[in-house]
Amino acid sequence: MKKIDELLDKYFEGATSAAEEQQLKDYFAQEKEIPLHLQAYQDMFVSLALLSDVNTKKEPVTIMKPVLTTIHRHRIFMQAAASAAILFCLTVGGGIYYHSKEAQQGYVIINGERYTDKNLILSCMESSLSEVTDYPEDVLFLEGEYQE
Amino acid sequence: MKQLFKRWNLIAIMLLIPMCGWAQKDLKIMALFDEYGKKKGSTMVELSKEMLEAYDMTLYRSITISEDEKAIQKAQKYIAEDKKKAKKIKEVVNKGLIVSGYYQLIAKTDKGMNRFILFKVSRRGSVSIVYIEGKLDSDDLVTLLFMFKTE
Repeated sequence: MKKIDELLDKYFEGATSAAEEQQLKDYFAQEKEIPLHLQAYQDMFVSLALLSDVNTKKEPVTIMKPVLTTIHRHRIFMQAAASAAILFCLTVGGGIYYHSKEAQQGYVIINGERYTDKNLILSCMESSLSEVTDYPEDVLFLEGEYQE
Repeated sequence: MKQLFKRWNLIAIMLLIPMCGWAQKDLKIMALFDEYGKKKGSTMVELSKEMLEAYDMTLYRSITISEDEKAIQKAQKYIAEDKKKAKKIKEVVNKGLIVSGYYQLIAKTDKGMNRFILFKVSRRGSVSIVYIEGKLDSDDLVTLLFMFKTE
């Protein structure tokens, strides 16, 4: 008992260690027959003990993790596949559009230089057609002869 | 599961749609257009539908490559491959090599379009290839060739 009195004095002087303070809290929380002159401190130390319990006790933290079900996976996969398909179509479609637009206009490339002049294109077409029929033998093959 | 298959089919169709309409892409000679079309000594022509309406054609592509022995060899090799797809062949062969050819290919395009390849190695050492797609038939093409020849 004398020890508790000493600890109390030390406590109020602010000279107690954490272990000594815990000793006081344990005493007032567990002792059933507390002397009359110490009963005044009982409520205070029990409250302090409860408070420190609340502070030290950590509540389990529930981490919410996204649950990927099969449906979710399918949906993500389908969205990715659809995006890839759209991207592919846009790329290829763009290429076709560019190519068809180019074809709509018509062009001739001479020695690496590109021309879109209609008369020049037509004259190049004529010369390329006459080029493929410039042999005397062609008269034969055009009439249906087959030589080998 | 059925829905999943339906979706896959839809994606497959979406992917295949842009592939249609490339009839000339199955021909080996097209590699020659890609390789030599923009090179020096070459003349490559591609005509629009509008410009070809008068001739009943929908596509006209031609290339003439001057003095390039490698190009001639390649062209002869490609023609030999592509003529396997022809239903009508008329050729002039010199020392085992095709020097002049007319090929009507098996129609691969829709709406019964005809496809022709005209090929010639000239004495000047140039090679010319003409690819034509359109509703015109072989008689129309021969008439057209005579027309250009006599002009």
